[in-house]
Amino acid sequence: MMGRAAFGAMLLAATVLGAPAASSAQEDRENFLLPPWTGAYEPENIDERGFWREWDELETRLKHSKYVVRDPALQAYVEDVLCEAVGNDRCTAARIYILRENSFNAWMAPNGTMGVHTGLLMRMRNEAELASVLGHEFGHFEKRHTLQGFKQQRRTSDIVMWAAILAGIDLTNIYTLTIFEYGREQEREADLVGARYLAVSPYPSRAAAEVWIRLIDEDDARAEERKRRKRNRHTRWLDSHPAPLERAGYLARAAEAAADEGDYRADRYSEVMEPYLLGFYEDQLQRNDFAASKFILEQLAGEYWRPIHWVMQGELHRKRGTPRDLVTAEESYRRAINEGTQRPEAWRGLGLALMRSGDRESGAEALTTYLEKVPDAPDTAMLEMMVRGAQK
Amino acid sequence: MKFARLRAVFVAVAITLCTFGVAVESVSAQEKAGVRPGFEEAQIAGEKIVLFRPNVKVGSQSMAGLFEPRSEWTEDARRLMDAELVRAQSRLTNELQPMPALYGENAQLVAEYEALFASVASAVVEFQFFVGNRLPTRKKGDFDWTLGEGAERLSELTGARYGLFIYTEDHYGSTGRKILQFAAAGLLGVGVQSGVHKGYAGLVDLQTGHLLWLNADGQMGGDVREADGMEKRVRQLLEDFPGSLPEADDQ
Repeated sequence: MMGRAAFGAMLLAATVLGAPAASSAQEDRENFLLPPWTGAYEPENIDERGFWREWDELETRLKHSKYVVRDPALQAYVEDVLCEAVGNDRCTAARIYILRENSFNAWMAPNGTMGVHTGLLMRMRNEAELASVLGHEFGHFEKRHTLQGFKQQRRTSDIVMWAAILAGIDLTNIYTLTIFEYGREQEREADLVGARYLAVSPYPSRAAAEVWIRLIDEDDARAEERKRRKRNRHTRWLDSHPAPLERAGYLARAAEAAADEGDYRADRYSEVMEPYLLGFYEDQLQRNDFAASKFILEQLAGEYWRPIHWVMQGELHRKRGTPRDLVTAEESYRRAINEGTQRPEAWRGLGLALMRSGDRESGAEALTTYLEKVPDAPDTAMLEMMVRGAQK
Repeated sequence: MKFARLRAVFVAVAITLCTFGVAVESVSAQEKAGVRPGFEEAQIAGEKIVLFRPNVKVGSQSMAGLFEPRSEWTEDARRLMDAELVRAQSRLTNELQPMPALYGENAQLVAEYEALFASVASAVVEFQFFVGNRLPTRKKGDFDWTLGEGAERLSELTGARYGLFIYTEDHYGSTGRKILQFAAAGLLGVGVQSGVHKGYAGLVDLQTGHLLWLNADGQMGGDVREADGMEKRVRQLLEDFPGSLPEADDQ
């Protein structure tokens, strides 16, 4: 076996040079090791101290933001996945903020502030996929990308300025392209650092490529619905990240080179997410993004539809609300209830769908069940009014 | 031929300057302060004013104009600002009380209003003080801005009737920037601005949410990294503050 040892970038270099990666097991081991971690990292030069200070201030504000999901159990879980992904010595350098934001995203600031959007948590199918994204973000931190990116911008902008003043040459367009190119280079690097973390983690590193393939499929579903061109195949000049297809490609190659085994921990992931899933999905439904929302649900449920998935399908169709949707919604809620869902939202959704379909009596009955299950629901007044209206 | 070349240089410089976000020195046709119609100084006499944590940002400006945050300067400026505001108290008729440390929902509420005030203040500067830019609804120029009635919760929380917000941002021109400024002026006669020094102070009636007074300046004086400079800066920020005593009393 070429080995867990050989890692993507190195293998690629070896291939290009035409030299077989024939190395002793010892060398393989060294190539494979993560860069040494020096413990609690502190900013080193004047620029870096400036960025950290600026972010310390922003983080203080973020702490008090109403978008932060303050749920100790979920918080502890995501922190745990990060530690599993990048290792216990590294992970304490990051402070995670789970943000109620329906987009597929996570981010990392130079001082170790990490933002994880609920839209990301909703879309991941297992722990390994989440670990791959968190590892990528941590890679930005470890490689100090904000600082490097700023230095590159400063260098380039100085040159552009002098070219204008001394020679009258306008290089601003080239400047813009250079900045984007450099940003994509950093994304690639973070991807490959992330792949490296994953290779030594308990997770299989092929999970990383799977995330991107699914993102492409989700956006294809969206493109079809909106009758626009499909994207994500080719990297263009003003893209902030390499095209997802390209990312999936080199991440798959890195995983192949690492040839690691691992556990996706899909069951644990869906167990932990179960209580939050519906709330995150409701936020996604606010986007008026039916085809993609449907795709997300189908990917989550896979071949094993659980009651929560039927409730989600009910919500998806009820919110679009064509007569056909209302029938599907009603069936979905009923199925969830028959299969023993504990979510009161199933009765609420069923009641509202029936009311809209014109079956006011059954609708009122379902809504009454909902109100019995959740006596202090925020929408009690409105629903009670609907129930009374149906009884007249 | 020579003229065409010079024009090319001019265009290149102008585009480049715009790209990095620092415009050629603008003619200052801006108003700097506004007071809500009907508001009278006597109204706030003796009332307690809560001071929201001042927002202080200090750094340098790279040759091309990028902002380089500087941790040491920012810390110095924040320390000096706090000290100076205590001293400025002697020039005010009101008791200025710093925002106490808050936790949980209260901290979230304050954070939300700080963000809201920052948005409103920049809208005032953009669409009210910059006369040529006034929105159709503000053509008459009435200074009528509010954070909304919900601000009352801040009054309940702090026990203060009024709130004072302060913001300063300084980008000190680096040596490279100054050389560039010199070169641009010498070779082309183009004025390149070195440094950015802006700030504002605003007073809000926390019971109604109305913005009573705002003082904003895009070209402030005083080096905030030094005690003397900070004194000048705070004096400028609180210039014409509704509760200030006549200047002579201060000396």
